[in-house]
Amino acid sequence: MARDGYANMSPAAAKSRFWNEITETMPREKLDRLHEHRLPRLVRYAYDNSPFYRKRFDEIGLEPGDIKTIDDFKTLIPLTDKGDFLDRQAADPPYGSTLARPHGAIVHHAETSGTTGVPLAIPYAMYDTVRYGESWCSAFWATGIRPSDSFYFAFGWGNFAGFWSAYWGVRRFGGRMISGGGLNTEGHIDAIQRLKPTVLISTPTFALRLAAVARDKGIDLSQSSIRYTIHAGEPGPTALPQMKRQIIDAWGAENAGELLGIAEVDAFAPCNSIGDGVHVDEMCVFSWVIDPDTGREVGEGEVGEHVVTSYVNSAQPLLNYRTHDLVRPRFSCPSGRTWLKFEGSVLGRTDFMVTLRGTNVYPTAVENVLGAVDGVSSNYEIHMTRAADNDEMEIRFEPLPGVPEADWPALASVVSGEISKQLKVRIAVQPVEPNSLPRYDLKTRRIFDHRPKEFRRALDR
Amino acid sequence: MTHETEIEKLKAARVLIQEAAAGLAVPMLQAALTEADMNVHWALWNIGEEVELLPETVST
Repeated sequence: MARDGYANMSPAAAKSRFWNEITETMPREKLDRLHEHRLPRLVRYAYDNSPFYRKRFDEIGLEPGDIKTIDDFKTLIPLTDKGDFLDRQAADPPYGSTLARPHGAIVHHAETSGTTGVPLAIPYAMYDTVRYGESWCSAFWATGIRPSDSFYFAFGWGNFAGFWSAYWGVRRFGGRMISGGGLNTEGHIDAIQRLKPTVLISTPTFALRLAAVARDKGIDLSQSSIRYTIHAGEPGPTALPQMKRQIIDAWGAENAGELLGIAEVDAFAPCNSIGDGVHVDEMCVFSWVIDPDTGREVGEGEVGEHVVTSYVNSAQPLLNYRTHDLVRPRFSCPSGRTWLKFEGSVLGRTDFMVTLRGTNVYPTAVENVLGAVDGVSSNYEIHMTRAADNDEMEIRFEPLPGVPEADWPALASVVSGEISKQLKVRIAVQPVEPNSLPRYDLKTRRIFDHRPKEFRRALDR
Repeated sequence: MTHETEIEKLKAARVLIQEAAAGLAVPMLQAALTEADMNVHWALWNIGEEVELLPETVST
C-alpha cells in the first residue's frame, strides 16, 4: 500500500532517525542520573503499596530511604524470581500480595504462557497500559517501519501478555492494526493477500511457516504486500542471522526486526537499525547483568544473566527480577543508540529453556508431567531438530521396567496428551527401552540439540 | 523549539489539564482528561524529565 504521509506527524518528526532521539541517544551519565532519581522512588512506591515487597524489605531490615544510588539498588534490593510471584499468587489468587494497586484500579488482566506450570497473572493499571507498548515503537522505527504502515497480527488473541503489548505499541505508533486472530495458517495467507498489510508481526518461526504453507499452495509470499516483518516470542532475526535472511527472502521484505520482552516485565528491548543486537528501553526498565552463580555484576562484553526492574508495572512492581536470560552487555553501539545493548540479543538460558513454535518449554516442566504419569520413569531426553522451517522436539522417555512393551504406545499417548494439556504445546513422544538412557554422575544432560548451528542461540551452539 | 521550551509547554499542559479536570461531574470528560494527563506525564518521563513516578494520586 502507498505510504502517503504519516498521520499527525510533522515532516521534521517523520525524518527522525529514532522514535525518541532525546533519550535513545542520551549520554550514559544522564541516563544513570535519571535512574538514580527514579529507582529510589520506585523502591518507596513498592514498599508503600505492595505487601510482598514491604514484607521482604522488613524481613531484612531494609528501609526505602536506604536506597540513594544505583549501587545501593543493586546491592541492597533482593533479587526476585518468577517463583516468588507464583507462590504469592497461588496463596491468594489471582494476584495475592504482589498487587500494588486496589483491585478497582486494574483495567487489564493478562498472563504468561504458563509453560512452567501455572501461568503468572499480570495485572495492569490504566497508566501501565498507556506505557506498555512504547518500546515496540522504537523497534518499528529502527526496522524502517513508519506510522503509515499497516500491521498484520498473525496470532490468536487470548490472555497472553506478549502481543497485547504489540497491540498497544501499534496504537501508540499510529499504524493500522489488522488482527488475524482466530484464523488458521491458510486463513492468514488469504487475509494477507486480501487486506494487503505492509508489516507482519508474528513469531519468526511462524513467519517461515506461513511462507512454506503458501509455497505448497503455489503462492509466492515474496510477491505479497509485506515489506517488513517484526518478531518476538522466540530467538529471532537479531540472534539468528541465517533465519533473518530466510524470512527476508521468503517475504521479499526490506527488513526483519525484533523486540525482546518478558511477558510479566514488558516488551522492553527493541532491535537497533543495524540488526546486531537489542537495546534495553531505559525509560521503561533499569537493567544490569550478573554472574548467575555469584550474583556479582559482570563487566562490559562478559556474558551474564540479565536482571531487570520495570518502571511501567505499577500494578505489580518487579524489582531486580531475574530473567535467566544470558546476555552480553555493551554500552556503545554504531547505531547511535546509547541504551544498554545486548549484543546478539539473548545468547542462551540459565535454566535451559527451549522455545518451540513460540512456546517456552522447560525441562523441569516436562519432568513434572512425566513424573505424574503412572508407569513412566523419571529418565528422559529432549531432542531438538529442525525440519520444514520449524523447530521440532521429541521427548524420549523410559517406561518403568515391568510395563509390557505392548502397552508402551498407550503410555506414550497418555504422556503426549498430558504434555499438550499442561504445557500447551504438541510434542512428539517416543518410549525407549527401560534403563537405556545414559545416567550421569554430575549434571544430567537432558537436552540434545541437533538443529543446524545457525538456528541455535549463540551459547547453545 | 528548544528542549527547555518543550519541557515548559508540557508542564503547562499538565497544569491546564488538571485544572480542567478538577471538579468535573461528567464521566466522559473525566476519563478523557485523566488519559490526557497520563500521556503528557509519559511524554515528560520519556524526554528525561525528573517527574514523579506516577501521574495519579498514588503514594510515591
